[in-house]
Amino acid sequence: MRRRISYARALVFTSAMLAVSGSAAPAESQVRFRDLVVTLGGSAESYSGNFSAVTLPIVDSTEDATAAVGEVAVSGSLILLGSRTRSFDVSFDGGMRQAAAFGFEELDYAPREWVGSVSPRFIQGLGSWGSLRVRGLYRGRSVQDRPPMPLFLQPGYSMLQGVVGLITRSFDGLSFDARVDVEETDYGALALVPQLDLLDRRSSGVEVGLRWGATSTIRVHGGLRWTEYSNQGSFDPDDPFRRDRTARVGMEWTHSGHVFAQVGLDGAMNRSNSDRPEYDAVSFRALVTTPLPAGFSLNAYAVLTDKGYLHETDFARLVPGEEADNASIAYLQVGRSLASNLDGAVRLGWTRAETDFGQAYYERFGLSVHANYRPLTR
Amino acid sequence: MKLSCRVWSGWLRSRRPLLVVLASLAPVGARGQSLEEQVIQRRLEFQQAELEYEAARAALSVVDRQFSAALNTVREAHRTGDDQALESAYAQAQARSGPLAAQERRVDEARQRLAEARQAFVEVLNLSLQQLAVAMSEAPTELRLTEIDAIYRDRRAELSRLEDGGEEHAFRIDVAILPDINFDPRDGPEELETKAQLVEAYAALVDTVISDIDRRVELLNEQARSDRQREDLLRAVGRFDDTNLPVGVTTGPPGSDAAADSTGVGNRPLTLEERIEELMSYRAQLVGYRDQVLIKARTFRSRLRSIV
Repeated sequence: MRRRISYARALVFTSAMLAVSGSAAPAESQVRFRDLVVTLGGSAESYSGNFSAVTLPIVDSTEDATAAVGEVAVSGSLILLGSRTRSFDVSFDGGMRQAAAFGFEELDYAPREWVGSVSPRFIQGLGSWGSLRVRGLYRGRSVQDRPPMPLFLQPGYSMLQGVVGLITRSFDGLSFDARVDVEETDYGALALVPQLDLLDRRSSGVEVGLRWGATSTIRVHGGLRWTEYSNQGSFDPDDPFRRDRTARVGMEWTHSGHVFAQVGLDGAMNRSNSDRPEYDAVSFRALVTTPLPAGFSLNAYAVLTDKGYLHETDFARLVPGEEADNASIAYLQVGRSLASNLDGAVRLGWTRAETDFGQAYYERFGLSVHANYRPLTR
Repeated sequence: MKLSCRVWSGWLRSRRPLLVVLASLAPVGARGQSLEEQVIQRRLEFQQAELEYEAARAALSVVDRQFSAALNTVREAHRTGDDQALESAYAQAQARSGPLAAQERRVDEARQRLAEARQAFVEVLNLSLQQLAVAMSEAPTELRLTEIDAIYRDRRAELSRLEDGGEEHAFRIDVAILPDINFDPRDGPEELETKAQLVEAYAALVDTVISDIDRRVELLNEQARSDRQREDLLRAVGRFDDTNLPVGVTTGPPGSDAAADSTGVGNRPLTLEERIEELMSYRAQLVGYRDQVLIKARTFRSRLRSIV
């Protein structure tokens, strides 16, 4: 696994240094936790489909599998510096999810996922003009006993990201934002699955946005992203490794009131030095939260994505056998506070991903129960 | 209104030199007013709307108490089985339900006017801040820069209070000052009774404000619970990459993007938790203050009893 200092790491380091240098004022340096949450959950899941994944060392002929899943997680933020004009916090999130999978032809699996992320963030007010934000993110994930399809689990990886952003106050009702980010993702390939290295990437991007409104806001945004996949070939001897350029535009409407609603639409054009990964895509997402009688609340979240490739090929795209042409995610959750520091929730989840090539797909249904305990809340 | 005018005329007198500076900078507005005049006018309109809203709420409180008293009479008559008294009490309660509904409408209308006045004031303050920022960059002398900067800071703080507080700015009682109603050795029974009633009415007003804070805290708590459960959902579905599907278009959960953050101003707005904390702190002060006011009322009553 590569351990070189990258520009992403340099940016994360810079953000931490900026924050430390900004935390000198003793009056502002009261360290405290914000929203420390311990989560426990259990779910029953069913999977079906004939989708193939080249990044898996094993295959199974079944098209239906089930799993009993339990998870535990901790998340929160540590505020190291907090004032109205300047703040520095470190958010963290870690968890373990253990599944017992059934229904495979060859043998049963017991996949275990470990995830963790840490994100330092520094915000500096710029007088009355706006605020500057510097954020770093490290995210790691590992999967043991990763099962064959159709039980799709993302493979393990480690990712570093650095973001610098600027958000202005409202000028005649319009506020502007801009951000630059760099990212490096390294998939921890095992000896048996060197194909995972195909997913390794480095990318950088820039995005600008414009927002207006008060209770209901609209934000339009556009951005460019450059991505290098140093382990994927381009079939061009003069420029042998895949390099993509992605242009994105989108808009988002948010209503923050008694009912919270957010709807977003994004379009992306991906162009590359290789023909096969050139595509146009559109993604729609919606999020709604509304209170229900007797202290219950309803949350719904959905994402729909559709992709169209520019060039016909005789083989599967991008990472062969693993890329979907469209995907849908939907979650419906009913929650209620059980005590001042304990929330309970019942959640239904549905996921479907499909390819036009070979009519391959996988689908997942899940019903889960979660408890979120906030030990520091009175 | 008279009080408000007195306060503002004092404010204007104390800052006349600075206003002269600003007046020379400000362009003439669309209605023939300079921006500075618009700031002053909208501030007064906002304050007027605040007072009207509070007056409407205080009146509602009185009508509400009368209606509650009538209902109590109904219950009492029902309990004792006095049909004649029951009929009379019903008639009284019915007669008082009309003013209650009318007064509730009045409060709603006053609240709407207050929201409009606040928005108008925020808009003109924003314009004023932009103009002051330009004026500072062009200030010919250090002295003038300092003068404009002082106004800029005041306006900035005023804007922050408006943006943070919203409804919380509707009415605040200065808990450092007890009502200026004092015992006079020449007071007879009538004066003492009147003073006791005035002080008790003031305590009732403080009670109304406390009840209003409780209502606001409950609404904020409900909103905080709702926000918390939404964040829990987004965190949970993103934690194990369940939303990260192999389609090449990264679509993280809403709100995860730094650029999606709406807290764009230099001085960030208070969070829900901070607003709740601030309100609860103010409530605790009000409870202590109300108790002091009631002690004062009891003193009047005690003197009254001693001379009757």
